[in-house]
Amino acid sequence: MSAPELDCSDLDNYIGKPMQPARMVDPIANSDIRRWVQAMHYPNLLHYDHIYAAQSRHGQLVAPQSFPVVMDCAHGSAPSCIGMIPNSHMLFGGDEWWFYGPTLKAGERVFNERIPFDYTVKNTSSFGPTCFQRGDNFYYNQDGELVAKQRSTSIRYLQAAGEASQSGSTEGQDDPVWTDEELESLEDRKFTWIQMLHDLGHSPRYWDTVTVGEDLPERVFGPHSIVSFTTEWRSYLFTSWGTTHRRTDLDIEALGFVGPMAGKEQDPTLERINPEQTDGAYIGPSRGHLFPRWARYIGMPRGYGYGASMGAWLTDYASGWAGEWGMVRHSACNYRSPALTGDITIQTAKITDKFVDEDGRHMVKMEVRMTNQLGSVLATAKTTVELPVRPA
Amino acid sequence: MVEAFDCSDIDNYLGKPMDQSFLREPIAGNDIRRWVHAMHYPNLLHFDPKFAGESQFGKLVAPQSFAIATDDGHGAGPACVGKIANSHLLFGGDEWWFYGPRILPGDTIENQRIPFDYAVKQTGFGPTCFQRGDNNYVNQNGEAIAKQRSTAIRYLASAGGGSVNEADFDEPEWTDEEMDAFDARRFAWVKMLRDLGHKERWWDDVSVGDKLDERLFGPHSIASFTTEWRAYLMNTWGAIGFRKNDLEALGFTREMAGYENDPDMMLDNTFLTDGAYYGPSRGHLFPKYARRIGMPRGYGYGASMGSWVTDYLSGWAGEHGMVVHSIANYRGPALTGDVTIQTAEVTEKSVDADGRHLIHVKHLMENQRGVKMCTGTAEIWLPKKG
Repeated sequence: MSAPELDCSDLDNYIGKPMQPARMVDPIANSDIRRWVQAMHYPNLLHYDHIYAAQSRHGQLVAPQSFPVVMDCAHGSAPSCIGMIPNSHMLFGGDEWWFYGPTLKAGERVFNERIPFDYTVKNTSSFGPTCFQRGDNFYYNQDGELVAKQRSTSIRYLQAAGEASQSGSTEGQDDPVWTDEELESLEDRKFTWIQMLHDLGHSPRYWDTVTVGEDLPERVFGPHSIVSFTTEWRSYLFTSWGTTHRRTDLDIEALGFVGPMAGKEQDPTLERINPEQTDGAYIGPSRGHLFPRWARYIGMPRGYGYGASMGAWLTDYASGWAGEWGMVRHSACNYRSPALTGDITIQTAKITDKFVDEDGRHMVKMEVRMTNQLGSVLATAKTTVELPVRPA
Repeated sequence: MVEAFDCSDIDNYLGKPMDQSFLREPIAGNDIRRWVHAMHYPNLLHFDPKFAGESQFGKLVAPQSFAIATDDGHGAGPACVGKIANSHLLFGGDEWWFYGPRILPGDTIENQRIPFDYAVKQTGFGPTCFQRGDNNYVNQNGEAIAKQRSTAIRYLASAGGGSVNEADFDEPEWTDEEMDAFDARRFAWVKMLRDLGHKERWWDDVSVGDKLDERLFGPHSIASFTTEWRAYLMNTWGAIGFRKNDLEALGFTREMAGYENDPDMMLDNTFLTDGAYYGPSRGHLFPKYARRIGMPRGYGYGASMGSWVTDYLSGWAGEHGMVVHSIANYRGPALTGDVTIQTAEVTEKSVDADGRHLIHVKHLMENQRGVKMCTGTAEIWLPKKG
């Protein structure tokens, strides 16, 4: 039998060329921000409690740094998933983020300029020949200020290879079962990081007080479920009918997705005729997240979480720790395996460096790890955070 | 020993306005879009900017069903006051009166809630309290939008858990062919909406005995019920300034009481306030907890059923008509894997004292097995030719 082929030649037609944009119909509303942090399991009062937010340095509710993907029609993956790869599927492989300073607020608009960047093909143990494709998202606000840049990596592989990785095995198909007692103690563990947020409050976390080798407080959330993943899905604005001036050139079939995964998710014409057929929760390449049958079809054992959410969890973890006077400036995130239903997610980090950059900004570097309860690594990130320096 | 079923505490609350919870933000266009999407109601008037702009409203408007999305308890608040020890609650039904004004983006909606009455009857759950309460939805100009008289069914927790039908634990399985057939059947009603467009459905053209087009949607799933849940504004952190409501004081057992919508916990361990996962509503989305209150698997929301009725009739009426009054009795919830089928028949045509031309219907909601989910009647105001 000949080795499976992954034909990526069509991708060359798109690299370096700006893509057709998509725009949100309405400006950001506070409820969009609140829904987002709730869905991302990020209970930072700055982003959902109006009184706390009014007392902050911002004087009003603001979006978290993780918010730009909410304003995109593909959570950043459009420029990293363009060009035909026949009979393929895709997973999120990682994101590199740069944050430039502006904070997003209600009433604002976000414009995302998207440019496919590059790709390479490697053999992976899970899926055989696999394309790692990257694309850039430049998120601007209505004043033309660059808010963030996201360089997204898609993992594109043969659907048959994904399905084969799950066939003949029922391993991982069942959610782990948690006893009531285990769930109770999990609540205590989850709350410790929230307590850290409360303790920091509006205070600065000074650069001076952070030491190399220090561990950040552990953050735990979950267990994940179809309910929590659906909640995440619905907090991405593009997933609601009529929210988005959608691309008119998105053709899921032309990207190479296979039959049952090639539904007309986000088709702007069909959305006005029969929008039920454009809802990615049920139709199209994303349906495997919420329906185990389709998860197994593409190589996942059961309902699985969103790569874009993992990116947000990493940003929120670092920026929540930094507090409202600090911010994440750069983060290179690798997604190793997704969160699965029934699993919990555990984030930890270690400070690896402190320095003052050429612009005089006081920075700390950290290595972040995200695992599940079995110790499997879901993601890693090398993150640089700017902190305020203690007044002399 | 027979467990006591004491409803006397309810008398302390009847007729007295309740504490209010307030929306912190005006209604946003996307709140409306999420709502119709979650309710399976693809009427372009409520989510498509171009179609809405060309309508008689000239902009996006909320559907009539939207009022309930602005409340902090699906309208059940005034129908569930007063302690009944060790009890659970299900939604029994709603009676709605709609007064004319529509809800638009930018509006602020207030709900003035007054407990109405109650009666105790014997049912499959043993002694059961049918308690009613009124929700008066008013906009920022003081205009009455709608009144919802909600019925709560309250019964002993011990009676609920004992009556779970294990045969219904598993969802029905649908083949790809059956799913395709559902899709085609589901689109038939959507096509009716598209064909009517911005046109009038004239009162003159409707006859007694006419049957309204069938509407089918589903199969329901944990994903679709979660989507519904997240479309109620109250279920988003910080969206509502909640009243302090002690669920244990209402008689919910400790494990179902939780901290759902607790304004203090919202500022502390916020996770614990999310009714999808904690408290009396979690049985909808988690079969393990559904079975503790007498449901075989994940089940739908009573408030959503009420909305499905309103949407079904107002979608048929078109943008120049409206539902003015409806009664909906909830017989049983939608379950995951089931499809929902709505039908209605015209029973009468009348002109009311205000000169409004009304169509009277009886409506029915069933699942694929013909199990009745909701029955009732309604009056729909349609335009008259000439």
